[in-house]
Amino acid sequence: MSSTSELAPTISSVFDRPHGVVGIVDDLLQACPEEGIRLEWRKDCCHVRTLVGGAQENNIVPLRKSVFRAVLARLAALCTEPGGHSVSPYGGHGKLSIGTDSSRVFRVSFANTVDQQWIELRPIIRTVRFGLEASIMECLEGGPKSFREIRRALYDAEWDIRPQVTCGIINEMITDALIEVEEIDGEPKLVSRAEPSNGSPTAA
Amino acid sequence: MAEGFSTFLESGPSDPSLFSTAKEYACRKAANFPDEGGPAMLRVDVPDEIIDLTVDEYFPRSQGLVQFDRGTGLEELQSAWGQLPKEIRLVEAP
Repeated sequence: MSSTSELAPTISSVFDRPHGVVGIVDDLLQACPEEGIRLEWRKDCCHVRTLVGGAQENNIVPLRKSVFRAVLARLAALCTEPGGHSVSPYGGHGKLSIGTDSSRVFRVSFANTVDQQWIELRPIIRTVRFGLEASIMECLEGGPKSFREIRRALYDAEWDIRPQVTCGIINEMITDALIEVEEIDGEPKLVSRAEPSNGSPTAA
Repeated sequence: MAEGFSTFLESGPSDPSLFSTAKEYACRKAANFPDEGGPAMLRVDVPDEIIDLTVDEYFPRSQGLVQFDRGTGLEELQSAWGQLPKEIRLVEAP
């Protein structure tokens, strides 16, 4: 596992020891921290940061633009949309799995056009806990959700939610300052907790 | 002048699933532009000595992806372009 503090050397080393774009992508998926990462090409460099947990690291990796776009093309080739369709080379979102037993699954969003080149990788299954957390966070991106909506979203994300998602698990996540329950219109709703800097709960 | 020019070897990589095939790639790209007549491929016969300029630690020939960038073959490709045999191939979309 790569922690946030290890992000810079770990991700940089992926690009420091290139063995082809295919090898870079393999190493990138292996090195992806559990909180997920975003890589974006701008100002002639690859910018890398983690996705959740309040991490503000933004590491810059020197890289040719064509290499970065080829990395995106490789990830697009690995990725499938819901329903098993291929993802457009220009961008979209879907899932990819690695390992002989597909033991690691990533949710992928990316754009690879003349104007935009970026990708976000979110491990879905590395451990049940982090995977569920990522899925719940994704569900909350559209605003506060009821428990029923959360359960439905997790079911759609192919989680076997009945034994796994309990109030206990939700409450455990709450202690990580990512999600909390808020009463909205008299009903308990799950909302994502705001960045630690301002302290007030907001929908993601 | 373009920043770069991406191509596939016609023979493809040893594993065609690495980037999908040129035909599949053309179809997936064309799906974004349904009013433009469907997928097509441009086949260009590039001398090996120019392709060799593109090979580095990021783009080994085994990947099947040939990337012409400034300083790694793009200038040479541009100089030779007028004399290179070319063919447009229409691709039947699935």
